[in-house]
Amino acid sequence: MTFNKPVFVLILLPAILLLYRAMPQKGRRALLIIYSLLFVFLNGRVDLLYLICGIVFNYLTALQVAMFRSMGQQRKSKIIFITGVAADLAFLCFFKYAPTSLTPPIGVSFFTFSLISFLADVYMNKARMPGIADFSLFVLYFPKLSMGPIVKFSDFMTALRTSHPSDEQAEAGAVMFLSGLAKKVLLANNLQLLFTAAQGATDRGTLLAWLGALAYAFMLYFDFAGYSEMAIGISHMFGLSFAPNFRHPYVSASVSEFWRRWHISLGAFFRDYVYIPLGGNRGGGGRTAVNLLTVWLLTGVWHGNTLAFVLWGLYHFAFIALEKFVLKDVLKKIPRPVRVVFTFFVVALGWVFFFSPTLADAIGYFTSMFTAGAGGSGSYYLTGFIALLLISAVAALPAGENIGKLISGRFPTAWRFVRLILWALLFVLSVAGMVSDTFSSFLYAAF
Amino acid sequence: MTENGNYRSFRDMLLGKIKSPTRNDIIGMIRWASVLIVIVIMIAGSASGRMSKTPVTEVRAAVEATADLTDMVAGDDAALRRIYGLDPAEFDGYILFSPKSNMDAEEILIIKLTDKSQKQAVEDAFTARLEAQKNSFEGYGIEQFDLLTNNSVAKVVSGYGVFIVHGASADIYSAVKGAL
Repeated sequence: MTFNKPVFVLILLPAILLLYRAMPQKGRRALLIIYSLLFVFLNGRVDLLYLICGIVFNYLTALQVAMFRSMGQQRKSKIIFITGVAADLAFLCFFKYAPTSLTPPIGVSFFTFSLISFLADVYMNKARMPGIADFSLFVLYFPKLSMGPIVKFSDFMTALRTSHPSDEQAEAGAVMFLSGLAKKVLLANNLQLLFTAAQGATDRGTLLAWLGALAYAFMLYFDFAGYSEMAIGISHMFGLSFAPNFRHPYVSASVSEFWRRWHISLGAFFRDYVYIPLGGNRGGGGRTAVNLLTVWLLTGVWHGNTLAFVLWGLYHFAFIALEKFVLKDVLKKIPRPVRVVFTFFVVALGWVFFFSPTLADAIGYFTSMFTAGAGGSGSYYLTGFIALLLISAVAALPAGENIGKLISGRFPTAWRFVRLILWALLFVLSVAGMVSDTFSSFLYAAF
Repeated sequence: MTENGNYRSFRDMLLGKIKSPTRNDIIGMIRWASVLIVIVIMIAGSASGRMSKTPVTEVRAAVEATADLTDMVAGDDAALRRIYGLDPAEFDGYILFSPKSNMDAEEILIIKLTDKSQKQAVEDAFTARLEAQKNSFEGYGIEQFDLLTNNSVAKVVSGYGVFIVHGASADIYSAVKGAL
């Protein structure tokens, strides 16, 4: 069950929201747990078993970690913690990297990281042991289960504790959900047509190769950021506030900045649980470089087990290391718009590693981009998709939000009316897009 | 949870009595028992030799309840031979839906194997069909090519060969898996 299906948007989501709002406060967590269990069950009965076992194992692991720590037995606490994390990682690695015919459970990469963050927080005494019900909700919570964001346990508990759903928050959540839905259905799904044409073409000229790379850059953003907005928007409607997972990454003026704006929760995970425990930037330039390299290798491997993903991680490491150690002062002198355009192309080229099934495919695609020359059907696709690409470029910028804020400041009543019409229009178009015969899953669900 | 943020019940009960070595051992046993259960599920699931006993009629009902098949026609033995090169007599049954128009790429074949040794032949047939269709649509049928590239399933699971090219392929596959 994904968020871009008519049955979810038109029936299941309104139903759970109405039930949630009608339910007394003390019954709401139970309702969310039951609904989340149902959500997993609908995806697959085996997935439910995996998740229940994961909840039992990690809860008891954390309990023992906390208990031994409170008794002053640090060594035992550490051993229990390490075995717990190792078991979680083994489970994740089996599904991601082992040659198996088994279908991975829903959101395995995301919930495993959530579980590890929980164990680490308990081990480092950053989080208190929760009740089993709250912990189960943390793991199962359906908006974030399949594709994140990877919410830290303490942040989730804070959101849960301070949850007081209001009409204003519900409205903000609905707008966020709709914005995410439109990004996925109206932009990402249509960009996919261009990308598929470019990727699958046998006679791929330079123009089509660049169009395909551009389409993928926008498609991946609207697909994943769209999902994240939907997940966070649904949470808002339940009264739970989570930080955004994307903040207009394509306006970044450096690759480092890009990663502070793209998939923020994954970056925060690696920062908090890998980079900082390794020493962060406290051990001098050499040590910092090694720590960064470790993080980027892991980031690449987390996304997939091909050499192309490893190279993609190293590619980003190379630019971040250059920015940090070599070009720091030079970059400051270059105007920001130039750096934004440069960063966008660096990132867009990096996505070629990301979308290529093998390293040979990536090399083939790069060859098309830089040496194929004229020919192919590039101009045909350019004519057909130029409007979509321009709309995508504008939608990826914060300009729309800024203009909205400006108008709402001057003409609040009129803007509210116009905004309502715009969102209604987007909703109708998105529903029309969903009910058409092209069902499309989310790209990051594969990770 | 109490007003001052402390937790009661299960956790407190365990924390209160956990200092007993026996109680700690029990927690450790439950921990590893849950790991054992996961391993057993994995082994059971990955037993690629598992042959589902679900009859084809049940699988067909699951597919029909999930997918819109109005633009498709049911295929027969001749179609199975012609399109996939598979001999219907060698299998325990099948469900075949082809598009009404040659301009469409949607098709569904779910075929029940009689023997594990048929797995490779079925997988090869699926791969060949997918490649042939991609070659047919490449260059002029963007949506059809997209469907074949991004919305297709071609695998053997629990003794059934499953080949789906459809807008709702993920849902149909889930329904088939659920029925098996």
